[in-house]
Amino acid sequence: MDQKPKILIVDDSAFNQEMLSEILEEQYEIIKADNGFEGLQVVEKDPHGISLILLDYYMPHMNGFEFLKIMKQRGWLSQIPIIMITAESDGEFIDQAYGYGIFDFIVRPFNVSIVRHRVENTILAHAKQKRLQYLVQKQVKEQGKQSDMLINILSHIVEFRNEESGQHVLNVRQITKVLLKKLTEIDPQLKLDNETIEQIALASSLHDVGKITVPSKILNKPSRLDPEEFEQIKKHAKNGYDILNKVPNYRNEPLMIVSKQIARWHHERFDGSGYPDGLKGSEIPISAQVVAIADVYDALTMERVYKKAFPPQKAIDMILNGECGCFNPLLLQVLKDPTVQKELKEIVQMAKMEVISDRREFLDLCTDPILTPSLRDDFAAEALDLISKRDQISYTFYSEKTQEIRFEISLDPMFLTISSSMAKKYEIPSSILDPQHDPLLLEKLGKENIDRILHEIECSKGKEDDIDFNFSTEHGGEPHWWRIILHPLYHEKDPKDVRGYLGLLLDIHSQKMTHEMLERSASIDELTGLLNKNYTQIQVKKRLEEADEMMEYAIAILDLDFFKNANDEYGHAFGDEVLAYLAKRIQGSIRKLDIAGRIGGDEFLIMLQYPGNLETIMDRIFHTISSGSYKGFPISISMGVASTEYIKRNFDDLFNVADFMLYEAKRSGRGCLKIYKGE
Amino acid sequence: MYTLKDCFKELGGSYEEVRKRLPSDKMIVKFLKKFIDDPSFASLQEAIQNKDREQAFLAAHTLKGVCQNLGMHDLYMQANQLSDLLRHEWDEQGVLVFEETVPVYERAIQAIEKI
Repeated sequence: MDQKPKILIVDDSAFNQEMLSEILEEQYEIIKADNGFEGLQVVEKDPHGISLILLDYYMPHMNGFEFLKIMKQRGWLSQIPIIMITAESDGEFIDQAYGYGIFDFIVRPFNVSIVRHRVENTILAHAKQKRLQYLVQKQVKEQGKQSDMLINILSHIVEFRNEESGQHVLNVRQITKVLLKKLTEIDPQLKLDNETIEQIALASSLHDVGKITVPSKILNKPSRLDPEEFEQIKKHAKNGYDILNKVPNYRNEPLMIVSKQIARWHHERFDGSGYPDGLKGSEIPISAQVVAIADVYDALTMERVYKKAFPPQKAIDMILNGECGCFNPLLLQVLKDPTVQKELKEIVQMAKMEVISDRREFLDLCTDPILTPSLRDDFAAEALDLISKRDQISYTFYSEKTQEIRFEISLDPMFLTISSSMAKKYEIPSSILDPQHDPLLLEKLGKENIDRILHEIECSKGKEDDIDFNFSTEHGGEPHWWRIILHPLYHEKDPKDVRGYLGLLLDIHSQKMTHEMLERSASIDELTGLLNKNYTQIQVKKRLEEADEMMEYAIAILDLDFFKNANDEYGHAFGDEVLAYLAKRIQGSIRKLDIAGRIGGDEFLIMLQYPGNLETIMDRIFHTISSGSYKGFPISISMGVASTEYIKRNFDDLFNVADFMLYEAKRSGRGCLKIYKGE
Repeated sequence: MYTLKDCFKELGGSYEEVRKRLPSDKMIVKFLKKFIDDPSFASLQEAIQNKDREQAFLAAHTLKGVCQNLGMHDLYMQANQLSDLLRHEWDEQGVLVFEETVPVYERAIQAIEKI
């Protein structure tokens, strides 16, 4: 660990770079960058490895402030302190620079001693600040964790008796949080700060604490409860309140007050129809109102001994329809919000990730760059190394095997970074400033694709969804297919303000080609090249669904007369030849837009839209097909036709009637056409 | 005997002032000598010829900072004037100021080369 701390000098003048290195190189390892962009590349490679940046302001391409903006967007500014070097002494400039997050200034002309001291102090002060931050965070986390833990134990005891997994308590807590957050957004009068919301959410864990007093054979009864049993269950609300009320010492703690409200009144309903006290409207504390909805929602979406799980949307509809009692209209409005619905849906899935998020939290702690070695030990630096190395390996492995290109875009100014292995593979730099004007990128992706991406970014503003679409690039004159997914990243302070995107570029070409090929081969009859039976049906149904009400359509079914003879006399190979020949004639008798398919051995279907007289048209088609011979075998067909003039616009009906008419044609001596014209 | 003190007199600066900021004569001499190879003056000249405001400003600004650090007061004043003039837009007067700057620069180079 006796490595020298690293200092990055970003300055376009080699002279200035050298002067600063001369002053600092004894104590520090110096990395030089000729402009902001080069500086960003250095930081991007190893944001934790740099202890300080010395930054010039006037530089070509990107000035010092633009550099600071990107540093901030990427979250590097909080990692690395920056000292700006300048001859400017104008107050506005200085304020602006501090506003962009610089740590300090060094003013020209340099005084060597001042430079040395300021650099040293800045590195120490920054480390100290980080360390303090960490200690405070750690303490807060510890305290929070302990009360959390006790409440969890308590609520789990209740759930354990309830023969439930403990998931319910966790879910209600999260749902409560989601609902409260949205509620404070839409109701300006309700002033709940984050801390209060957390508190109510935590208190919600104890909503069913009174169930400890209900006999477990009633709690876990799989069949319907009789009225007396139901009365027993109902007592849990009041009993929960009493239990909490008897806890000595903490009576006036806000957490205790909220817990009691929730325990007692989470079965009250807005119209006064709930229990135990029949409170109405705003008599019910908002905490209990919210937990009541959270409780109902989770109960609906989870499987219980007495019921199956409802899908999330169904559960929400049931609550909105009043099937679970009457709730505050404002809360129902919250429930209608699409982002709330999405979050509620995710809560169940998120609960499964619990184990993983624990590890994340651990990582968060470990990656806090603390300089003091003794603290490092605290964080099990070794474990961190192992985990991050493993993450690194798996990351590289998956991205190589799946051929994904991972990247990140910062906006304003636009700055793109690409995973290095992929950048190497596609021969592009791993970081690009102003990517929309980069000649190499324009060449590789094509201007229209870059414009499309920018357009989609523009259109997605204000929406939370990922941007996801396919596009093709030209590769040796042929299109090559890609899928791009962009996930918006928001400013910490303003969640509506997108600061950039995480991106994934997938090579879907072979997948798409295989898919298209499969679809084609799955839809075509190999022998005749017409549509196969299955696909004929799909296409006809689709055509009927999209059909213009004013247009008339007809379905014709035909088969080859005496086909059995061809097979018997000349063999199956000849039979196949005849069928292929017939298919060609069918194809030649209809228009490109019409549908023709082989639906059985020697049975074919034609669907067409017709203007005017059906009989004339069908007659022409019939005679075009049914004439001449193939290698001495006479081509004669029987054909039945049904049309939407007389039959409902429905595949089965049209098909059955046409089939029946075919049968009629055969019965009346074959080689003829029968069209259905009503009874 | 030509001393650093004499040199700074010719540069319009003060050896004592510089000596307060930079810790040793050795370092002062090293960077003065380095100044001879510094490309910012050449870049300034090229930019003025091409009327390239941005390049001219950046070069003048760099030159100004370097001169300031080395206590080369006369050239610093010229560079300062140029960078103020060209900070926002092209100013024809910049050409005149630059012409005045050329002899100041040459004098500075000669003063340094004598060390």
